[in-house]
Amino acid sequence: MPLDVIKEIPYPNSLRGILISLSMTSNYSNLAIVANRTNYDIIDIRQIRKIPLFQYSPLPLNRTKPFMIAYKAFDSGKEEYLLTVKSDESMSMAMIINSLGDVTRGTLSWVDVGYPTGGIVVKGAFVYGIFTNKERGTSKLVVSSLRDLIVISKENISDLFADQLAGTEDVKEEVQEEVQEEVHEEGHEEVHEEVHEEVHEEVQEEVNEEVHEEVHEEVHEEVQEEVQEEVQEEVQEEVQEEVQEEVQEEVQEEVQEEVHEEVRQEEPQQKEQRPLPIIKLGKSQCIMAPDDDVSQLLLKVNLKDDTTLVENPPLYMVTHNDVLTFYNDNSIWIMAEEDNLMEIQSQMQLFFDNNNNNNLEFILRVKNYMKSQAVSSNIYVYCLHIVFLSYLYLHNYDNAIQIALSTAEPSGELLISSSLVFYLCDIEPPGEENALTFKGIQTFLIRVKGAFQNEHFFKDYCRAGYKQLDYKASSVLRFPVYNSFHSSSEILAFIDEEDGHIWKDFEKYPQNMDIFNELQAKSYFLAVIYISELARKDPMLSTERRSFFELTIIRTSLDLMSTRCRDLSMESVIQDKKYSMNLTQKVLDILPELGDLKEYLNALLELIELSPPEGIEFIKKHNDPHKQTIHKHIMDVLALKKNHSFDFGAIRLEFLENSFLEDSGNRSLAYELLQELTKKISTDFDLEIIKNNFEIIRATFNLECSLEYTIWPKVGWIDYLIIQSGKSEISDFIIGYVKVFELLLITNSKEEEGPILDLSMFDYLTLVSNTKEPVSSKVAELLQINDFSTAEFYAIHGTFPSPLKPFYLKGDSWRKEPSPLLENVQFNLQQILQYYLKNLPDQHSSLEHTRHFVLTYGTQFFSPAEMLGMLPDYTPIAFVVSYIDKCIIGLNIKHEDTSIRKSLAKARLRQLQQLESVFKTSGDP
Amino acid sequence: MSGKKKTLLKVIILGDSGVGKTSLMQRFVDDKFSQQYKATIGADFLRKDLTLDNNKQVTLQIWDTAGQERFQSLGVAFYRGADCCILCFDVTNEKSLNNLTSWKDEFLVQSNISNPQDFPFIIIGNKIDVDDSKKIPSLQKKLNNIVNQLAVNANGLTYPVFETSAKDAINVQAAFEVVAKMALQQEEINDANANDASDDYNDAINIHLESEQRGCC
Ligand SMILES: Nc1nc2c(ncn2[C@@H]2O[C@H](COP(=O)(O)OP(=O)(O)OP(=O)(O)O)[C@@H](O)[C@H]2O)c(=O)[nH]1
Ligand SMILES: [Mg+2]
Repeated sequence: MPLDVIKEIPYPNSLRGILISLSMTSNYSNLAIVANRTNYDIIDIRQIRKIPLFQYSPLPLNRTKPFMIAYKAFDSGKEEYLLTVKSDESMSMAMIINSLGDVTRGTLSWVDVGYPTGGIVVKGAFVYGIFTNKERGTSKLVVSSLRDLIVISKENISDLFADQLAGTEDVKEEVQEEVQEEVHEEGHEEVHEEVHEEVHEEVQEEVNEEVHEEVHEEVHEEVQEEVQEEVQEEVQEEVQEEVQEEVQEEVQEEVQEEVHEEVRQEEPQQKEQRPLPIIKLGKSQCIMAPDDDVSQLLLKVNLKDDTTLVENPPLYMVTHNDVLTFYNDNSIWIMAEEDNLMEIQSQMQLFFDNNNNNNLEFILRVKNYMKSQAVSSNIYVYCLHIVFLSYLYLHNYDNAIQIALSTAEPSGELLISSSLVFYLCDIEPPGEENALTFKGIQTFLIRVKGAFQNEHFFKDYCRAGYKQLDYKASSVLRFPVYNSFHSSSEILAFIDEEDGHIWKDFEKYPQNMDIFNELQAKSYFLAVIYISELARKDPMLSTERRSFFELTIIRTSLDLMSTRCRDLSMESVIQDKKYSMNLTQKVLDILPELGDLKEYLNALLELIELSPPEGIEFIKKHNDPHKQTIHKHIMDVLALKKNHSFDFGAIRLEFLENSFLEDSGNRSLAYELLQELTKKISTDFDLEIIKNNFEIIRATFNLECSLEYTIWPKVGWIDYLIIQSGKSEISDFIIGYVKVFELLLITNSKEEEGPILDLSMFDYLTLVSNTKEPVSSKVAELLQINDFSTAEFYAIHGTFPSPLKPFYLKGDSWRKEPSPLLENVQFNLQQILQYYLKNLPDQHSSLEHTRHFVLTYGTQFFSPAEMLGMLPDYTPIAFVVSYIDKCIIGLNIKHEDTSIRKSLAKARLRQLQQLESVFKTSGDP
Repeated sequence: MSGKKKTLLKVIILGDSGVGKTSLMQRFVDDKFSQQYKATIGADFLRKDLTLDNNKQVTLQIWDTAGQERFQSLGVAFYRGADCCILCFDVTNEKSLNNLTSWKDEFLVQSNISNPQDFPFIIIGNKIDVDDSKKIPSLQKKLNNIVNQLAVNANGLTYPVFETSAKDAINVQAAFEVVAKMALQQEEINDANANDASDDYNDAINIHLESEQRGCC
């Protein structure tokens, strides 16, 4: 890649530098940490300025090589930089800063080992440094903990290889495999390697750092120093070129790596017992890069003696899958990471092969190893998978679940993807996402899959996961969790404990609808109702959804009440007092909200049939005008259905009555009420018994109201009945009777055909209903049954009077217009007067009735002459005089013409003359 | 969820080796004390959450530094962004008292504090539990001198002084509470100043200038 210098920044005496944020993928860096001969600084490339950090070497002349190691912190996950500082010859420290130059941790200190001239690597929570003591010619590997800022291990490197020398031949093949299988993970991470080689002399070199995207700046490094690292080894093995050699020499090299992968670690706890198998040199496996094949071809060969001419033999380095190989023409060194992971991998194989079911030791070992790894590093996650699979293999499901639910901090993502668990359990994962996993565990996956019974495991996994994880990570488990339930009561309990808030926020989680539909399809009706109720609490719920849930609650409740549908949890849920599962109440609560009138109607209708008292009560309570028609319709429908246990006739009647009282001008309502009422009378009462009682009342009326009694006003038949009803055994019947009467009065005017009550006791009502009959004959009939008041009223108005205390006929609104006076009132009244006169037992009582008649109707409907002409001769003078006076007063007031006055005066005179003759004949003084 | 984020306050403890800086911090944070002396190398910090009188929640990040000279030179990195500085001396060690001035100056030079005369310092005389006979003769007088001398720049106001014992836990809590309050005040001032120029590097040096100057030399 060609590099362009686009900006040059003067930084004198610079030694080396690193770009900040190398491993951050989103941004290239504008900052670099650089070192000159004495100090570290941060250089802001964009603004071309320097932020001084601190001195790393006390003496500028004493060459100290600065190390700036960038890494991701094991705990925070943020990029940090470890900068080494030399205090004096025997002691050094490391400062740890962030990209702002702020110190993020305390210092690491290395007392009595000097300075890490051999290089520094940070891996996970550990820092590995090679400390070389020039005088003694020894190198130490020092491992320090970033967590506790202490040194946890110091080993002489030569000791590390002591045990290595023994078994090199045996491991050859193994190594070959390992090299191929060698950790493929973390391939995505960038690997930065800087290899500085200095053989025999000091070399000035430039280290170019390449960032994938753009290199903004070339950081010039002048490395002018000598670094001695001694690697002693004895290697005895075959190499590709069939060169078997004993290598025992000093290699002067400096390897500075920023490789995330390279070094294996040791358990801090075990530091005393085991040497650190850090760098295994001497296992030879030549990996030829293509270039080197070519260079082989290009080697110069002396044709005379067949020897290869070696000019200044170069040292090559090749990397392959994170394995470093160094070689020149007669020696080979390989730095393969034989991570403990490989060991674990092979132990895993053993574990699976000779499965003795309590082999938890292996798992413990893996767990221990994991402690040395940065959480959520690939190796860590890989091990987590191994532990998980091992637990599963041992049928230790609780632990397996616990492991499976480990999450990365702080993202909260699952380290073992749920899709893997789905796969193992042979369950179709809900998402479309790819199910990626490690190649290294593939074979084990298949074996685990075949070996464990997943029934409870999967269910428990999903539930526990859903419980523990935040919504983002757990949402994929939510569907399976709901799928795992076998009853509504389970679902209710789960919702109560875990999931209520998600349902209450219905619109926010799109999954909700799918799950809801699924539960509905599975007939978990109580759950459906419960969820609908929760969803209604979401203030953001759309109007359609709201009505959807309202309808769902009502329909489902009614379905359950009617046993059209069944929910097996019904009993247990009802017994569990925790949930209010009073379905009737639920319907009642929501009914008023229901906008769709058709649904309202159907629901209410069914509710009334299923639970009549509550339904009726509801109608009574909610009988507002715009629901009235519906309620009426409901009554109609119900009344038609004969086979219900509840007395809908009575309810309908009551309902109609109430409706009618609200709207008393409504004649068709009156008609329906009339129908209902007559039906009720004919069905409700034992008419035989009623008849007897009724006849008695009639008979008493006949007696009490006969003309023998002269007191006026006389009570009419209907009012008499009302008066009697209070003391009668058949008061209910009487009330019904009177109501029918009233309704007949109202409907009459509409000329509907009246109800036929064919029993004789209803004669009176028939009379009322029969509108075709002429007035005179009606009056005659009324007189016949001694209903004189009514007869008189009828004679004048052509209709019956409303009762004094009416049930319905309050006010006059029921009449189309105030009852007009009939044309032939005179005639009708005359008819009555004649009846009185004719049917009277004696003169005295006759006179009383006449007086009533004359005083009541005399002035209004008759002229004095007509009136006087109608009176019988025996009418006493005094009675007549008082009538005439009344007429004269009335006329005076009215200023009537004199002729009438004269005739009245004459009439009076005549009466006086008559009076005279009476005196004469009687002889009294 | 807690509503407001806790304020993080950075506090630096300075003073001669052996005066008890590490001991004071450990007493305050972990309520522990060790007789054994282990020199601090470089620096380390501990955190402690405090609730102040006004119900304000703060986290103190207390940086314990090395008193020994050979472990110094890293100052600037640690001092950056400090909200309060504790100058610590040993009541049995006169030299440690006399050195306070140079600790203060060192701090101000290295830390790049914008308003040095307003920066909060607090003085702690540690180990008051020891026998009076071992204490610096006429301590109060000498202490007063030093305190006045230190305060010359601070508008004539003297810095608060606490006499403590990390060993017997005397006055340690009280001293750190005052530290927290002073630090909080300082932090608020810093915040207010930082509003306009939101640059993380207030101590940056323009390289152009530097190189030009060098060029002509
Ligand atoms: N009697 C007494 N001894 C104390 C007290 N505080 C600390 N010491 C002792 O003084 C010695 C030094 O204490 P440190 O806290 O390590 O001193 P330091 O200031 O951190 O020293 P450096 O890290 O070298 O700068 C230790 O042996 C402590 O036990 C105290 O209040 N009273
Ligand atoms: Mg200390």
